[in-house]
Amino acid sequence: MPHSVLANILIIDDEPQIRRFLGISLRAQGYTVTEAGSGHAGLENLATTGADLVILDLGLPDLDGLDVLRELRAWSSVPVIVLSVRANESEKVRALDAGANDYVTKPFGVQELSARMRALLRLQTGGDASSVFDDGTLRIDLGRRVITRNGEQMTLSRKEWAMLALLMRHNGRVVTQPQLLRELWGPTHQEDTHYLRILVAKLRTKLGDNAASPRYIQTEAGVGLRFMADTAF
Amino acid sequence: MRNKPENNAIKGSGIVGELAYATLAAALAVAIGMLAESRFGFEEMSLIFITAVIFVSVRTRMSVAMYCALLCFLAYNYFFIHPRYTLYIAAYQGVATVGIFLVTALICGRLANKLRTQVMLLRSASEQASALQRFGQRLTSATDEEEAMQAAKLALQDALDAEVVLFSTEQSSGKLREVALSNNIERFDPALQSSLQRCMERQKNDSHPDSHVEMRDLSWHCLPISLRDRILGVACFRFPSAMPQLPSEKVQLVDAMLRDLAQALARARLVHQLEEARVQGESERLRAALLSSVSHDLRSPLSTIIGSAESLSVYRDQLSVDDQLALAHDIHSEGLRLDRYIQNLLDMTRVGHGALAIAREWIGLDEICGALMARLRKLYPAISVKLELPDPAPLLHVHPALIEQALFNVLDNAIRFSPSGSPITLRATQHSNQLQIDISDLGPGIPESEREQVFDRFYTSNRSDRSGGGTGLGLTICQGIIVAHGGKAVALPGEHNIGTIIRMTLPLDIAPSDTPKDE
Repeated sequence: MPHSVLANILIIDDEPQIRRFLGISLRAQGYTVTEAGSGHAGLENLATTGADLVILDLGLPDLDGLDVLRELRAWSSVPVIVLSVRANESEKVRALDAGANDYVTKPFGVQELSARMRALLRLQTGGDASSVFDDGTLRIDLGRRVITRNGEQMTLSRKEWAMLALLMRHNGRVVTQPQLLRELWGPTHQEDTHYLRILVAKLRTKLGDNAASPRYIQTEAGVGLRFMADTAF
Repeated sequence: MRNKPENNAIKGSGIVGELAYATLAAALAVAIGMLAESRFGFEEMSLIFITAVIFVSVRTRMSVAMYCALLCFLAYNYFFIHPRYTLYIAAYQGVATVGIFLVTALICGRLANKLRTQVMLLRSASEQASALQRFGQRLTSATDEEEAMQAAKLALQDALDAEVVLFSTEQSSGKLREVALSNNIERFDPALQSSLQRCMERQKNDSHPDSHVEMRDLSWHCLPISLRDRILGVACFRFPSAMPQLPSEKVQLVDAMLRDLAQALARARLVHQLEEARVQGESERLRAALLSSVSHDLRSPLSTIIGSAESLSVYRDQLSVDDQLALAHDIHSEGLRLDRYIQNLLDMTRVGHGALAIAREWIGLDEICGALMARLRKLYPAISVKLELPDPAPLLHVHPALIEQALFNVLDNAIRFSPSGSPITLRATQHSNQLQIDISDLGPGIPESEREQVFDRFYTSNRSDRSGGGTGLGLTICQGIIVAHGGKAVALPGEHNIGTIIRMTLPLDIAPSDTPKDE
């Protein structure tokens, strides 16, 4: 994994135990790790030393995690993965809409977190890796707007292209339902989740994907959709 | 003379009208007598006058009947007895005859009047009895205070032809709360409020009030609804302006109705109290069971974690690499188990005791299954669940994460109770506006006697020991979630009586017909 060798990861979490096991396992993978125990410390650290990726706990004692995120987004575009608790889909959506790039649900496994981090870091360093996708069966060229399945060219409607492009631009990350609805149909259709379901069902059919065991587009119930270029997660 | 105005033929007229009627009858008797004499040579004029007196006495009060008798006697004397056109009577015998006839007429009339009165009384009594019976039937079908009050409002409205407002007294504070009222009534009508207040004051000051007599000055007539000195409510009536008071013959009917209503109210309140006590008892028991379950079920994975971690840190030099790995693996898997318990407990509070406000959105059943399988694979990497979904998969209008949790709990159960490697199937079928989801396993099955209990809180099968157990909350939560979505969950025996099927049915909403614009 050459792209991650020197990556500097900032962990903002008030639980020393979580910082410790994350620090140990991330350093073992070759990352450089900086730790901060509060929101203020984390922001200060990011401003002075910078980081290639931030892992942010939403439940901080001094500042609301969402506030940290908004403050940080005012002057930095560093990728952020938030740590959230299950059973709170709306919090996940709010965090993603406030500028988080991805989330993992507590308790999480180190491998799951690492896979998410790799996807984000690859985006940072790999440049245009997302504009062409090819897994041998399906080839999508976003720039030229050409999609072939088993060598056969497929026709996508405008909305299908728009959805696919949006998901691929966020390759490996969740795009929230509100964002999808907003970007595809405009702000007046925020509640029309059935639009989304109908369109994604059509798109899946054309990609030869199966919602029940998705290969390309995964549904995160209550949160949004995720395009999976990488089969690692 | 209670029945006076209603039971007399000359309705709405007082004594003056009756007197006029009597005078007219006498005059008519004279006219007919004259006619009969001149045309037909009829001689027994007394018969005509007797008939007139009988007629009058049937329909009037005694004094008027006597007045009529006297008048007839005089007219007979004046017009028909020799010497005519004087009040002088020549033959003594004639006078006696006339007198006896008139007395007879009076007696007959009075008897006929009494009979008529009785018939009318009987008729009105039977009307009231059947009204009361209908009311009783409505009351028995009422299941709570509100329904009883509504039934009473309708019945009283019909019976009295009046506007009705019914108040119920709060059990705790004794305050009055209006529960049923006729249409178009201003509920803060000051006249109503003051009548009500006076009624309550009278109740307080005097335990045996003669409640029907007073309140004539007010437009509202208020009567307490009480049972054995306990006031359960107040009934207020406003009569049409033509008849501003409670008609006296309806007094008994209203009394009987209010008595029935009081009994129905007392019954409804008792049922309500019993139900409240039962729910309270159950939630107390639930809390106790929850606490003991939490402390027990959370402790066992915790002891493994604490013990294994301590072994790793204290004895790491003496441990082989394989042992170290095994301990680390146990810490990991027990941690996951702990997480599952905690998730269940959290879901328990989300689903709660019935009412759950669910934020619904549209999602495909296949999408839920996809998320479900991804989550299952994290826990059981080797598991394979056979999915049989309708094609195209239906869109559901549900809380996606909760439905995923419900299905997850059932699958988790199925996996833990089945021999490893045995097939587990999730089969969804669409029946008009219902979605049926069957999750079947080939485990030991559930004995028929326990099939209902599996959804009870903290029920765990005795056979759970070998499979690591659970909090016994999984299926309860599943049912809570499904019920909150308007569906139901049942446990059935598997095909050929092998294994178990948990069958969940969910109502299918029709997706909005407006389709997204797509060019």
